[in-house]
Amino acid sequence: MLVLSVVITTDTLPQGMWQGFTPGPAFFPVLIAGFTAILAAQLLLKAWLGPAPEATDWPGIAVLRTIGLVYAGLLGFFFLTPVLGMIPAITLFLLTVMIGILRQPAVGSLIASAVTTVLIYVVFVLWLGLPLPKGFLGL
Amino acid sequence: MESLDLLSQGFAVALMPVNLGFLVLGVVLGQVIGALPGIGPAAGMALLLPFTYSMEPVSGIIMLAGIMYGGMYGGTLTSVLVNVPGESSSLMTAVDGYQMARKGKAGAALTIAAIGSFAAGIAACTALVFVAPPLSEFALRFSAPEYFLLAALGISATASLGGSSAVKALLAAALGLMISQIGVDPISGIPRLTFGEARLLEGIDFLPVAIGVFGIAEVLASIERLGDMHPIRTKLRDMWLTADEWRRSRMSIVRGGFIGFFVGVMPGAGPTIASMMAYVAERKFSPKPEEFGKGAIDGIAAAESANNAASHSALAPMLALGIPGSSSTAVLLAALILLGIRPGPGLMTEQPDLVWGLMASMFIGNIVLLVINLPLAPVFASVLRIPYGYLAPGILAVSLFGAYSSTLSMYPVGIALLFGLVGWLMMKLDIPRAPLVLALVLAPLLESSLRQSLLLSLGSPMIFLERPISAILSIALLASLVWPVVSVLCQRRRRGAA
Repeated sequence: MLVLSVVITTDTLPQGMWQGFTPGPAFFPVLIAGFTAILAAQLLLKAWLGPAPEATDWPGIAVLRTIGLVYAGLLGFFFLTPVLGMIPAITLFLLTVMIGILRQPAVGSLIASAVTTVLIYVVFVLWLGLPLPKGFLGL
Repeated sequence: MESLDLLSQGFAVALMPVNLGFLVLGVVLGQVIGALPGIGPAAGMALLLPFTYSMEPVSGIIMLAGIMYGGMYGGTLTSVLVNVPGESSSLMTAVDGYQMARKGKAGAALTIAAIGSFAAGIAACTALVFVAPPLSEFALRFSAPEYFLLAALGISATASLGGSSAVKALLAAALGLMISQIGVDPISGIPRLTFGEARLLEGIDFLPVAIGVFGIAEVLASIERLGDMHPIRTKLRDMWLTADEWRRSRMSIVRGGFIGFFVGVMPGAGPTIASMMAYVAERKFSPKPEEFGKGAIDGIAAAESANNAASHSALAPMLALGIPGSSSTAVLLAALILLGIRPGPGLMTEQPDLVWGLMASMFIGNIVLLVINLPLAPVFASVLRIPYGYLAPGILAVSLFGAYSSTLSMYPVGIALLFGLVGWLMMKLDIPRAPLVLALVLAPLLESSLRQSLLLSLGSPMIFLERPISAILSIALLASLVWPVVSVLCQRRRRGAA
C-alpha cells in the first residue's frame, strides 16, 4: 500500500493539486495516497515494534495446491475463450475443475457440467440476448 | 398517514404479477444463496445484478432486495444443520443451532429462527415506512459539505465497527478509493492513473470488483472446507416448538428485533454486528445464561431476529440519503445507478413507485420466506446435500459470465479474476472486504462533493464546521476515526490492570 501511495502521488501530482481557488485533478488522489501512507506506516510500525501478530490461518499445502489449480483453471478459461469460444471454454473449465481438480465422480461431473452450461446458455444467450465470443468451432 | 397511502400504492406495484414473480424468485434465490456456504447475499446480489439489465428497475430492485433479506433466512439452515454459517450474520446461530441439532432439536432451532426473522422483519419494514420519509425530507437540506461528510462517515464507520483491526479496515477502504481514481477526472476530464492504457480511461467498474471480491474469493475460500459438509437431516414433524421453548424465546425476538433495527440504521454496522450484539445482550437477559454456546434457543431467537431486522433497517440510509451502510446495500445502490436511477434524498419523491414498491415487497417477501422456512425447510435443506464439488465450479462459471455481461468484453472478466485473488488474500489476512466495496461505490460522491465544497468556500476547509449539520457530521466522523484508537487504549489499560 505504501508503494501504491508513491505511485499514485508521482503519477497525479504533475496534474496540479490546486488551480486558483479550487482543488485540481491531483487533489483527491494525493489526499488518499497520504491517508493510505499514514495507515500503512502505522501498520508497519505496529508489526515491527509491537508483539508478534497472530499467525495467519493459511491452508495446508494440499488445499493450497487445489485452490491454485482452480485459479489456474479460471485463468485458462480467460485465455482460451478467444480461441475456443466462451461456451466451449466454460464447459472445459467445469469438467477440468470437477473431475481433474476436485476429484468428483465422472458421471456426476458430466451431468453437473451439462446442466450448468445449459443454464448459462438459456439465461445469458436466450434470455438476456448477450453476444458471447465465438471460437474456431463457431460456438 | 401520507406514508400509509404511499405504502398502499407500493402494494399495488409489488403485487403486479411481474413484480410478484421476481419477488418470489429473489427470496427463493436468497434462501438458496444464504444456505450455500461460501457465498453470502452481497456476492449473490453482485452475481445476479447483470440479470436485472433486461428488467424494469422496480422488478430488478425488488428481486435483488429479496436476495438480500432471503439470505438472512437461508443462512440459518447451514448454521444449524452443518455448523458452517451460510453467511457471516448467521455466525451466532451456528454456535447454539448446531448444538441443538446434535441433541435432535434441529427443527425447533429452524422454526424459532424463521419465526424470529419473520416477526423482526415485518416490524423493521413497518418502522422503515415511518423512518425513511422524514429522514429523506431532512436530507433535502443537505448540500455538498454534508454529502462529503456523510459519505466519509459511511466509509469510516464501516471500518471502525467492522471488527478485526480498524487500521486494516481503513486500508481496505483506502484501496477502494485508490481503485476509484483510475480513469478520467470528473471535473477537468484529465486522465488519471491510466498509464497510457486506453481501456483504463473508463475506470474500473464496480461490478467485476464486487464479483471478484465477494463471489470468486468466497468460493476459493470455501474450497478449503470441501470435506467438512455433512448436514444433519431434519423432518417436518420435528419443526413444532414446545410451549416452554416458545415462552423462552418470545421476548428474545422482541429484544433482538429492536437491537437489530437500531444497529442496522447506523452506517457501517450491518446484520453481522447486530446479531452479535443481540446474542451478547440476550445472554444477560436469559434465565439460563449457562446454556449459551450449548444450545440456547433464546440465543438463536435473538441473533436471527436481529440480523433480519438489521438487513431491512440498513435500507433507511440507503433509500433516504443514498449512503449504503453495508456491503449488500452497497450492491443495491450500485444496481440503482446501473439501472439509470440517481440515488439520494430525491429518490423518494422522484421514484415513489420504486421506493414504496420495494418497501411493500419486503412485507410480502417476509411472508413468502416464512412459508419457505417452516413447512418447506426440509426441502431447502436438501440443497445442502448436493456435493460442493459440483456447486463451486458452477458458481465460478456464473461469476465469470456475470463479469462479462457488464461491458460485453473479457476485460471485466480479467478484473474479476484479479480481485478474486485480492479478495481471497484479504480473507486470509483478516482484512474486511466490505470497506473496499463501499469506498468504491461512494468514491465519486466523496470526491465531487469535497471539491464542490472547497469551490463554494474558495478553498477554506471551515465550510465543514460552519454549517450546523456539517459540524455535527464532522464531530461524528472524527469520533468514528478516533474510536478504534480509544478502544485499543482502553483494552490495553484493562489488560494492564488485570
